Amino acid sequence: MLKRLHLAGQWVFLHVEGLFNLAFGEKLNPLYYLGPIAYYLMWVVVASGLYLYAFFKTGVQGAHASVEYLTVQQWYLGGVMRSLHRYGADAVALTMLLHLTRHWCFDRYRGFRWFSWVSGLALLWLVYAAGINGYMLPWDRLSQFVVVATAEWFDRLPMFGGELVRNFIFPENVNDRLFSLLTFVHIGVSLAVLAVLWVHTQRVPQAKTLPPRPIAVTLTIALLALSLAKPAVSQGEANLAAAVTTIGFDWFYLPVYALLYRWGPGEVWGLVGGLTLVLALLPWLPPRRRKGPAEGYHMLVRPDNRIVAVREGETILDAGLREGIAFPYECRNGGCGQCKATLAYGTVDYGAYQPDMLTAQERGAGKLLLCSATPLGDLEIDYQPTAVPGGIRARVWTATVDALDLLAPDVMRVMLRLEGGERIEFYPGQYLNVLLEDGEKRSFSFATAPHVNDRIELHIRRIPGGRFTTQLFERTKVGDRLRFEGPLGSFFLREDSDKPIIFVAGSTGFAPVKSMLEYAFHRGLARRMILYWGVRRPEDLYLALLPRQWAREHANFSFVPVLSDPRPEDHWQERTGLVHDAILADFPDLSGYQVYACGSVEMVEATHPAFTAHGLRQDDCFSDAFRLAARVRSHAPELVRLGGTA
Amino acid sequence: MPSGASLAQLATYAAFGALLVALSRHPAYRPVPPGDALLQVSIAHAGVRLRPCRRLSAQELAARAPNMRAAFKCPRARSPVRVSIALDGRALLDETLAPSGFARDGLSTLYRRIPVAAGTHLLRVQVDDDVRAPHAGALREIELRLDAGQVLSIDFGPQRDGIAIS
Repeated sequence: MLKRLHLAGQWVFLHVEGLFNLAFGEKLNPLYYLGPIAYYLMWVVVASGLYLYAFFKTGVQGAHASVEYLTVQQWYLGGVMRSLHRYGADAVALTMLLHLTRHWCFDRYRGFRWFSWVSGLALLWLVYAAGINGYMLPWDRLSQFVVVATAEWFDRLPMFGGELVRNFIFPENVNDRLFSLLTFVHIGVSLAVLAVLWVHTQRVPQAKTLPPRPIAVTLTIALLALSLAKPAVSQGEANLAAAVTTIGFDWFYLPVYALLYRWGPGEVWGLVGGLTLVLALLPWLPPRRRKGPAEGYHMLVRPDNRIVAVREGETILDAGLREGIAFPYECRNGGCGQCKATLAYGTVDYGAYQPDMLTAQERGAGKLLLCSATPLGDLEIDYQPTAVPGGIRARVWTATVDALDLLAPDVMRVMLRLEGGERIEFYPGQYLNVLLEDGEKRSFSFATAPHVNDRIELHIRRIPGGRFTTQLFERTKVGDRLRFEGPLGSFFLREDSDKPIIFVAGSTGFAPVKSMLEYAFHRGLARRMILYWGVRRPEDLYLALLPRQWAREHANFSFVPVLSDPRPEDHWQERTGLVHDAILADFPDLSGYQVYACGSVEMVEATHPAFTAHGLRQDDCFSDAFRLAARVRSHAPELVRLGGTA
Repeated sequence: MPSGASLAQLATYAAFGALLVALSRHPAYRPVPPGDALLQVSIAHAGVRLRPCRRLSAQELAARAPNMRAAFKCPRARSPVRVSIALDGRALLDETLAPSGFARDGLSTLYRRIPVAAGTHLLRVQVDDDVRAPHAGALREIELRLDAGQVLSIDFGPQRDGIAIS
């Protein structure tokens, strides 16, 4: 039954949106931006309200007169502002209700989305409280009705006990303080709306809080035209000696008031309370059985070569954006086709979308819309990046090999210099893809810090039998040219925290750590930083002198090499064992730290659960290989190995 | 020459504006039926104490802590208040209001909103605030003319000299 209602609602929305697409085009269809439009209109209401407040007199004599002054004598600005305030608020209620209905129809309110739903509901009621309260201020006949009816309604609550209405039906009780109180409530509730709006929006990854500019401009012009053509006016000054018999009524905000004298206050409380309860419980009605694993599914994203978790029912787009993947998108409603990508592996529920945006042929060819599709298992997604962190766009570069240094028997330092004296911008921790002649790619992290951008340093470990690394170690020479694309990836040093950082490097995972540390020293970061470099034998610490030198030069940095397989002839006097065991021995409580892990998949797989069991917050661990699951295709780990693949 | 899409956009925004204007004013609402006046009965009054205050004896006072030696002991419970209103001999209201509070020592409150036909009426209001002496409370009977849309408020309290009709 519920499913049928959802499908019927989807059918209606998709068809109406399809019609709107014909008029507005897919990218500027207002129905795809109901949330951002409500947000924008809220700012219109706030801005116009501030202007009105500057002229509003909070007194029995002044309230109505000041609003009339704005409406009549200052019609060209004050009157327009009042109308914008009124119509903007009405439009907020309308767009919020449509926004809520759409999310319900498309089943975007259950599971992990319950918080957005419940906070949205709180927001809706707060907007109603602010709107209804706003109608009390002009002190016209409608204000009189709303004030008295609200008092009658609230008097039904035990704490008021029937005395509240006495403040409003005897003229001698209505004084200037009442208007100060009403204004205080109006501003207070409006501030609460903005606060809850912020909370509501924070839960949506990379939520847009403003519609595209053409929509915002057109909407503003439409409201201005409306304000001039049909200005909002008062309905005669309030007079407590005369009953309010007939009033123009705002049916966006006041429909329950029409029921007050038909049903009675208790019944209206029952309706509003019951409706609120039902709406608040909707995410759990009926309880839904989980179909997939508790931790959700995993998705390998290319070309980032990242593996991210996707919660059950979560769209691929939201999961990617939540993890900072630069998926392209626009409407987020299956209407513009901007987020089209390729499903390289796995099965999805394609969701509801405009048929023109994903044809049957495209679907057959493995295409999907990231904003509509939800996973039914582990996935592999290929997409075309259009933006990267900091707005640094990835592109193809040509470079020449400037130097080749054998740092260890199986590790080569490759220095590249960009042709034409070009310089590359990147974030410390990002990587590049070397493009092979047959179209294959090999990923390597930048080992230089971004401020050293005239040359690129790579640490490449030889993989036995690996095509590219064998060629590099045996045939490549200084002066050879190669092409690569970059910078890529959203794994980079975050500077929005003061927590101490533990870097965990395994083998050539030292390369991105070197980039991050050199950048941190260059920037003068004062955070405490500890590097644990885990390798098998001493010779695998191919640049050990460098971190030891950093430790001498920087008081906030320390270096702990850890060997997992030392031999007697190594005469190793320092730490031994697995690198994460050494970290946990030194830091049994990781709740106050951030961890950046770079290395083999096996190391990260062993590290992550151990660290989280010792208090490391999910938000404080960074690794492209984190959340890696054995269930993901067997070759996937190779793709996410930072520091080099075969 | 505007394109079809532009005209469709214009029409959509016009419809949006028309919807905002229409539903922010129309249809009009009538809280009071046309031709009616409105009686607003609002009473918040504490009934008399059910038992009178008693002066404590010297022995009783001496037995108390120095800071607790109030001269009178007053039982808290108050009488319910009965309110009866009749218009042209027809009962509009006859309610007995219990005092509020766990100890039944608070105000008895009542609010009723009663639309009545406009015209000349005989209004009779009686308020008894002592159950031990029924029909011994305040009584006011007046003939009045109510215009359509007029509000007549009825209150009761010693500070308003008994029953106040305004």
